[in-house]
Amino acid sequence: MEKGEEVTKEVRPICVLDYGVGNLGSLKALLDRERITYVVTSSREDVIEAQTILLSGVGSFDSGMKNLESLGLTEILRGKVSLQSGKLVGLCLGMQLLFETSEEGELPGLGIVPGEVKHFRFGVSQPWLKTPHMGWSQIKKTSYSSGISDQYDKHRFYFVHSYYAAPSDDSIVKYRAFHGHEFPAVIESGNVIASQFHPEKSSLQGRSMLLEMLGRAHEG
Amino acid sequence: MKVEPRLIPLLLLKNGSFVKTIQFSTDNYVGDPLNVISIFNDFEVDEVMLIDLDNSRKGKIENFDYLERIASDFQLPLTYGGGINSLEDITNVIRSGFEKVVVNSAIFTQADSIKTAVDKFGGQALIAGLDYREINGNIVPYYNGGKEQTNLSLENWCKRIKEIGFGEVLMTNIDREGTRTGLDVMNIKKLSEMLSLPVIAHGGASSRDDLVHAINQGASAVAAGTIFLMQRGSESIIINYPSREEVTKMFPDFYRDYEIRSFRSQVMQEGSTGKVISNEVMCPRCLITSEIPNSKISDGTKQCFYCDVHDKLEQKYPLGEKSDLAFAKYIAKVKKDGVGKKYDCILGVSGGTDSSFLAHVMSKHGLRILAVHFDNTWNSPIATSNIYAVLNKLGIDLETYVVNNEEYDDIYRSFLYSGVRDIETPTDIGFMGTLYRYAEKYGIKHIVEGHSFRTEGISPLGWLYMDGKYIEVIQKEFGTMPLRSFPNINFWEFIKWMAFSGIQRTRPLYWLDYQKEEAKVILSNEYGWKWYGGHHLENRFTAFFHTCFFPQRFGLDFRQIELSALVRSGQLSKGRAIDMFVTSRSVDLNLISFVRKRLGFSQEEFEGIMNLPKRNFYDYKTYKKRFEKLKPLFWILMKLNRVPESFYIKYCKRDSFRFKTF
Repeated sequence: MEKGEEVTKEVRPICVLDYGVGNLGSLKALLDRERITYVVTSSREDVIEAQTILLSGVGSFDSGMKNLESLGLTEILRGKVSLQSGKLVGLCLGMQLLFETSEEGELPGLGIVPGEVKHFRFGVSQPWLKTPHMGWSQIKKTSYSSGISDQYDKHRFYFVHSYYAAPSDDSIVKYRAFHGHEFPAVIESGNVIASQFHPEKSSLQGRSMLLEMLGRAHEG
Repeated sequence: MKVEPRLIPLLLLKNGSFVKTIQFSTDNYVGDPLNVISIFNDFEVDEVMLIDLDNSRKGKIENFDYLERIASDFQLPLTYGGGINSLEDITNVIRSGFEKVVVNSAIFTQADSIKTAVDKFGGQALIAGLDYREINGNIVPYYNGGKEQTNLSLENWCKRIKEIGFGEVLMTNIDREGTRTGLDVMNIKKLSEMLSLPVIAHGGASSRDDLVHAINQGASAVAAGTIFLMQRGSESIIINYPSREEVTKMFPDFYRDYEIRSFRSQVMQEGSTGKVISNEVMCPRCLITSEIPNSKISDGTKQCFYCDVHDKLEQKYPLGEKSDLAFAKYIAKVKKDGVGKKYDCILGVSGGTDSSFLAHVMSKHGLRILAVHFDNTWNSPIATSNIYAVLNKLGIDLETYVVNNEEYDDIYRSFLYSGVRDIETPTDIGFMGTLYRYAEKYGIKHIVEGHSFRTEGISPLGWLYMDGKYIEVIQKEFGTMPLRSFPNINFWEFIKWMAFSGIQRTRPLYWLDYQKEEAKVILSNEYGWKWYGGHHLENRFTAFFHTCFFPQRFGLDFRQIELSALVRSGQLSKGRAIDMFVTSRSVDLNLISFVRKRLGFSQEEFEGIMNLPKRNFYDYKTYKKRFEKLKPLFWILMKLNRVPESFYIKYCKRDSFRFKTF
């Protein structure tokens, strides 16, 4: 390789989207601990430049979409994914926003991933199934091949959600979890990867998975 | 499979410390928040709840910076409660790094703000706190820190919670809180059936079985302070949490076909600050080299001074019949002296191998032991789990003395500023001071110590110095607060306890064929005790001292002493010991950053401190001069077995310390 090439191949930063929903504190703390360079931003320029975009967040579907819309970010996110310019990582609500519609809201989602977001509904025959699904659940590897390693099979992750994603294409589901019925825990489609649980609150295994999602797999 | 039940330590914050209350009133000091939180973090608990009592009392939150500091180091779900009154409060708490917020009084006074918060952050971020009393068989909701009764019925309370859109309910029986009278299972069942929301049961858990009952009655989670913080019976502070294996056994219904997978392989990471043994001449028998003070190695043909001391001790305590007899005589004497008292002897416990093994041995010989733990608020999670596991299984009572965390950190800062190397002196003196105080309180005549010359070795003259005056003087010169909770030993206490109290300190391991590796196996098989990666590493600050401070700043490493001892007693070959020594010692960079952050130093300040001009103990006023003047008295005390010979040699002989060591 010529020396000159390296200069143009500079690593563009990880961009943590600050779109006014939820808690970036624990995510930032984790990235700081791992000495990963990132910017917390809501600027369109930063997002266009970013190599990896982290779409985190909790809260309602509509408030998330409304905020993304008012920051002028929805088109940019769609465009980046379709042009395969950079990677999009969605966490919790950030995963749900990737889909076309949600039973939680009126607004359309980003529509980056075909499918809908549904509400957990349990009959009176299962009084122990509460909504929200809150707490630790094991995830299970599906048979579909994935860029994410299979070391997380049967490990516990922390979930907090009342809605779950139902993708049209089952083969993008790489890990599943169970709450009354199975639902997708990790999806991966092209340059988009997302988890329903909170890796930043799931201790060591969460840290490890998040680093993998960001393409910064921990060595050793 | 059902949703996994959550077991949630609930911590109460007051004046920058964690406390434990009983029925919302009496306080009991628990320890340093950053350390307690980080222990629970390493235990990988399901969640932690933190309730700030000051904020709750004042009805407002004034310490967001502090809350953010606590939250930033925690990698698990964290809930905050106390003084939440507005949307702004909720926003700021969540910004500080908390996932969830407990709302109590504001349910009644600020319903609209809370509703807005639900829209903004989602219902899962808001927990409705139900503080209640049972009156005539009815649940009556209270507010304002449990002080005022509401006029809402339980049904109407639930209705309001649903309208606002809360994601969870935390129910606390005010009359049972902190009392260990058992959780209120009837009402837990009732509320869990009434609500489709997850219910967190709290107030009165007395044992791990209680947690199981509450979950089986329909609670999604149980929050508890007391049982995760204290030993049952003695009610002494010892942080504990069931392991994954234990949890699956507690809830077999939930974990059928459940495979336990642990992500945590080892606590310490390999570092790069290892030091090779110097080019000086080495003792032909052990690893002691000629630059170690008083080693008396000239050309390497004759064994060193410390090997001589070892051999003398071997002659005095020969393994076999003679020692067995001496040990049996000792046990009989301790039992006789304990007649009519609650305990026969006191054992200082740290969670380490030596003290844990001694608890095991002494207990098997039928001694009634009072375990005493000096908690300097820097414990590692493994230390507290080990203490909990061993004592619980053996049924040994524990007394914990928890020093004030802010005061202790101030003492540590003072020692660091002073430039001396004896920065662990407060821990050693505090430990001794605690043992004697409890011995006095319970009228116990025997203190047993886990020291063994065969495994721990003999500390070189001049490596460390300690006495009570030293701490007092350094704290006066560099500290920002007086010594209050620190159990120091002043000169007269020292003389009283050594010479006149009739309290005998003994090291029973001297009589036993104590094999360290064997001991670890026994402890781990019988008690689920865990090895923590190195001698003295069970305490975070001690680990910092041994892996970083002492080697990096002073070029000295206690492993040279310990490995030498193991070689002398035949537990390790010399070649293997040298290999182990030159292989770099594990340095945990997270540990160093933890120490730095907790003591409040910036990176630059910390580096400055690590490079301060080096001072020695004789640059400060200590009791050394007085000890020297009273040399004849201590000679008698030594002959009477009241003070160890090593004390006499080190502290009473003039200039015994003035070796050039750097």
